[in-house]
Amino acid sequence: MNAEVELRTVSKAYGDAYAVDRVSLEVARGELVALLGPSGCGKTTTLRMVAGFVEPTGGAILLRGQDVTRVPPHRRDTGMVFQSYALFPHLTVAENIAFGLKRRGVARTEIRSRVATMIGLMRLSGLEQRLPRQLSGGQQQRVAVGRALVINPAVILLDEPFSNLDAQLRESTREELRRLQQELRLTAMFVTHDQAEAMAIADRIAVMNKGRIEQIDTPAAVYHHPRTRFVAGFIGRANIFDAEVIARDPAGVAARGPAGITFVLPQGDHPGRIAVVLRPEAIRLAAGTDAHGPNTVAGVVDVVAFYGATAQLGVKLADGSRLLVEGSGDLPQRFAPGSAVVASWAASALVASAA
Amino acid sequence: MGGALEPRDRRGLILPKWLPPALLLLPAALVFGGLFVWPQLGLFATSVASPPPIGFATYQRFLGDSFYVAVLVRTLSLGACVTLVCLICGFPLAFFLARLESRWVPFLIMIVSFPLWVSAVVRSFAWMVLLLRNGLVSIWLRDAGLAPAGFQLMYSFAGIVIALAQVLLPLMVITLYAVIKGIDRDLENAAMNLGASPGRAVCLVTLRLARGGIFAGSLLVFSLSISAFATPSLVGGATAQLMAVAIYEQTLEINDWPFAATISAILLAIALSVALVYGRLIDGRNVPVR
Ligand SMILES: Nc1ncnc2c1ncn2[C@@H]1O[C@H](COP(=O)(O)OP(=O)(O)OP(=O)(O)O)[C@@H](O)[C@H]1O
Ligand SMILES: [Mg+2]
Repeated sequence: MNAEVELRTVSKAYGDAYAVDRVSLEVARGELVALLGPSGCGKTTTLRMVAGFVEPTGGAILLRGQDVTRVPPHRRDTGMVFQSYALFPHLTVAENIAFGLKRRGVARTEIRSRVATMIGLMRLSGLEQRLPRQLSGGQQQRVAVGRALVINPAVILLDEPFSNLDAQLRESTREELRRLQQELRLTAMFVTHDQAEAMAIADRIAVMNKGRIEQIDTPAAVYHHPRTRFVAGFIGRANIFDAEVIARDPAGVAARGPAGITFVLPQGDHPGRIAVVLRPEAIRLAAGTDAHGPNTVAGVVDVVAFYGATAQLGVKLADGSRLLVEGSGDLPQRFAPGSAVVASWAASALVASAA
Repeated sequence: MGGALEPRDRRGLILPKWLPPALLLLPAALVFGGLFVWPQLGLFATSVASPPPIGFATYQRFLGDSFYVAVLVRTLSLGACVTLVCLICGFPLAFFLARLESRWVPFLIMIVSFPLWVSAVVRSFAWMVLLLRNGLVSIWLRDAGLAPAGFQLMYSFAGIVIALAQVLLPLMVITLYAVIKGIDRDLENAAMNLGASPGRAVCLVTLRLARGGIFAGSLLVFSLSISAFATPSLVGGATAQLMAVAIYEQTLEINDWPFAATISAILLAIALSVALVYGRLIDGRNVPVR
């Protein structure tokens, strides 16, 4: 395995509490892996253990095949972009970028040319002699990325690199970072609590919850085949039902859910109690009051949200719960609030995850 | 609209913009002016009035007398030595406290400030016990072969430096602690991440950014050491030929007030110019301390 970064059952305990609990993860060369999860789930701690600022209480960390678990940060080959950027306030943009090269004893002329290249790459031309406080947030962020990139680290570590930017800049900056990462074939780990951000740029997403990785997969796999209820709820919008398996045969698995729904799922190795995940965009609506057979349910439209190209409807079911439906922008015209509808979906749209 | 540009009192009268800050500054200004600036001016007037009405005979006497010039030089070197000792001992301690993540930090700071709680007389007698010929420190130094027989630190310049550094160290530590605490720890992490060893990271980042605190702490320690009287006279005895001691002798023993005023004016002028030069030196690139 030519993993640039490898975590083997890495843990970090503070007293009795595990901030990170037996996390295993491999990042291949040129791959961008996102650590995604809610606040306090251990993303930053994991990243800082890779950089060496936090010492694991268990497990091993390997960089390019070498065990670096006990190696101090300055002898590890990582480039970190801090959430607050941590630019040296007393050094100019050029000096900030040159900092790592100087520490590595790179020759003066080579430093000058590599800093100049990086300044061009990061679109910082003309700002070389500015101090960090004389830069905008986006420019500061680019200096932070440039400072980490210029030393050619084995892996670049980014802790919520876009969280201090406004919404518009965030999107363009992350696309730019993705382009740069692919062009330079950078190996990167990147922390975020924003699932859309992770989906947009990551090759693989490690979904973390309470110090553990619940699933690590490509964005599509995490979205379409969430392995746990937590992953299903955290990635995108989802209708999640508790259901009980009532019949199994070669054609499929039948499970009884709330509001009298009978789900028929594709054949699979499911336990008795499952959580059925149904994405809102997989649901079709028709006018009517009677729902017959499996994979349908009747209800009444009660909330409508129009987004232009798309729209979302809330359908109130018999047991009072609400089914979220997403479709094209004409949905609100076809189904006004109060209209009776029958919702249906294909068996293939259903995913069973651990309850 | 309520968006008045100038503050108004309750009846809607417009107050001049400078009035509120001036009122806030008034109590301090009165105390400072009445108890420090005014007497100081009086003292200065006394020093430049021999022979009357305007004359600089006392200044000529001070600067022409090699004894007093030596006193001045000794006082300034004492200040420099104490400041250096406090910086060297204080920075690591302040750094350690600022980076320690423990609920015991306030308690530790209290312990650091302990020397300030003890009266100068008691503290100096304690140093006598340690520094006299048969005191612990002197015995250790002799036993370790670092000092000749009969050696004692008591009544020596080094003894005064040690005793003064002990009492002034807390001021240095507390000043530096506050400044280092305000420096983002991730700056040190970033430096290490870029390949600087922990020591270099502190030198290249923390030390540079703590300049303001180093300046403030040094100034505090320096000015208090060159004007210290009780500790140097008790620990230094006859070797404590310092400016403050000279002022004491001229006022209370010899009763030569114009000359005492001259010594004190020279001391003040030197302290102020040291502060200015040092401030320029340390503030190479004007970085605001966050
Ligand atoms: N020095 C520490 N001492 C004790 N507990 C800590 C320490 N650092 C982190 N923790 C705990 O470890 C857990 C994980 O923290 P971490 O900073 O890794 O979360 P995170 O996933 O990055 O969250 P966020 O999205 O809010 O940044 C948290 O519950 C936090 O309270
Ligand atoms: Mg975090």
